[in-house]
Amino acid sequence: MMKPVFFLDEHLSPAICDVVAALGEDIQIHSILTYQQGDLRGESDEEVLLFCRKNNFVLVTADLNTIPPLLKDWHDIGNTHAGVVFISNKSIRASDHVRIAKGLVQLARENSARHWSDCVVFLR
Amino acid sequence: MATGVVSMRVPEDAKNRLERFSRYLGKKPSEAGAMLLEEGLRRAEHPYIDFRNTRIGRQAYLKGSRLAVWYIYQVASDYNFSISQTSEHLHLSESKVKAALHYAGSYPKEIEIAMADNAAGEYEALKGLLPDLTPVDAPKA
Repeated sequence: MMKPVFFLDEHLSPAICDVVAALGEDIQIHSILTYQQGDLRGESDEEVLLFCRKNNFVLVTADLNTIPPLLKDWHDIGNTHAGVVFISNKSIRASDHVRIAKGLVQLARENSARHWSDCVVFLR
Repeated sequence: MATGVVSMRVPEDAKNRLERFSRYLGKKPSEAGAMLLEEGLRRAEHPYIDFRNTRIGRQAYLKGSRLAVWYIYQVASDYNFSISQTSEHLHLSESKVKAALHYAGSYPKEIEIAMADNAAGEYEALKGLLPDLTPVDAPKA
């Protein structure tokens, strides 16, 4: 089963990638902060979602303000995306890298890459 | 908030651009002008900060990043406002973290509202906007 490739938004620590690796899981995970020398740093939500779609990356974000309404707009005009995982700010602290990593590992184990097109998950 | 009146002469081209921008924002030209003046003053006082249009209105961001100031504040609060830990988490220089926190300190109400908006965007609130949103419980660390 082909596993999804996760792409961490700019506000999530790249240390999460290290924790996933330390858990011994064969899961690809990148951070905007370090991927391609951080070229996507500062890009708009639209640009990041388009980049993820082009590369078949599942965006992982704790931005519950600006991305949800954008996904709704995309849905309304028939735009597709490659999957988004929202991280709850209430139940998961941004500094809790282990919990976020374990949540992503669980999602990757339970859902193949194919599952993720237009999929939206709320990790809490 | 008390307001005052300032009249100013601007080039015709600037007037036309302001009118276009105000239509884009759905505001009156005088409201958009006052907003731009306020943001210009804030930029001068906080040169690491910029403002962006988002789906939920104008927001203060750290210049050259996708980081809203309120989020930097939230990460910092997670680390008991340790500048070094926040800097490490966000891969930012300590100066930039401090700049964001200084802005947050100058406009606490704005930051409080943005954080409350984000906190309100939990599953129950988002499922109306995104009907296919699936809740998943992360394992306890």
